[in-house]
Amino acid sequence: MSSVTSDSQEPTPRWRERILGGGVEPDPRFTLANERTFLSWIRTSLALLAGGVAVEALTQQIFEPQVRTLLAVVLLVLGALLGAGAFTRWLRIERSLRNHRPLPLPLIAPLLGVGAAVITVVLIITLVQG
Amino acid sequence: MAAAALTHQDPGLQPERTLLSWTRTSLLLLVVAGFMLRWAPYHGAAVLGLFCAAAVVSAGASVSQRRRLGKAVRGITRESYPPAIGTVAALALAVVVLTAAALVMLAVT
Repeated sequence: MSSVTSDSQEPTPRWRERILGGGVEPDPRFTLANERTFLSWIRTSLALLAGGVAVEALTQQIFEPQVRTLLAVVLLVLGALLGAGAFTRWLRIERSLRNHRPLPLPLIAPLLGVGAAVITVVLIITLVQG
Repeated sequence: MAAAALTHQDPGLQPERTLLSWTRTSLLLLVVAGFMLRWAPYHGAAVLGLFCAAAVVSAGASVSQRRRLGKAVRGITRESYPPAIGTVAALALAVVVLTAAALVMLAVT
């Protein structure tokens, strides 16, 4: 493992430099924290996907078909948006870290909040009417 | 790789926490892809193919864990960690494709 002991660092390839928006390497702990945050968002997205599939599959006797489809679609669309947003956010944070800029606001956070609220309201209306 | 290469001085245990984060995520990906098998009776081959693709992504993430841990530890000891652009992009893409496929199946079932 000579690569471990050598002190020389490989120069960053041009394409990586372009994607990361130049700047200087941040503390590796920040990059690792950003990676974990990305993974947390991805798990949130996967949970919404699981929820969408479960609503469609398991609530045949509980909801009207239209309500069931609506809930599943909202959950799935929200999941897709969060999945794509997770990558965008990861990249924007990484760029900010490298250029010592303030971190961008998480646009996917209010998205998740509004989405969850919409789903809950639909559920409450359905339950009250049923 | 010798175990000594995996020792580091980070009291925040960043390499380990990141490793476990990847483990949780790849396991969840496999489980959620398993949920999609619910549509297997309607779209057999397509669903099976989708599940296998997700399983490959999940397995790829698991198999490369040791290498990822090594990179994180080296990142800490050298104070230089290259962001995992490819892996992050691939995982996000896999999740978006899986969700889009679920929407399509919802629409045509």
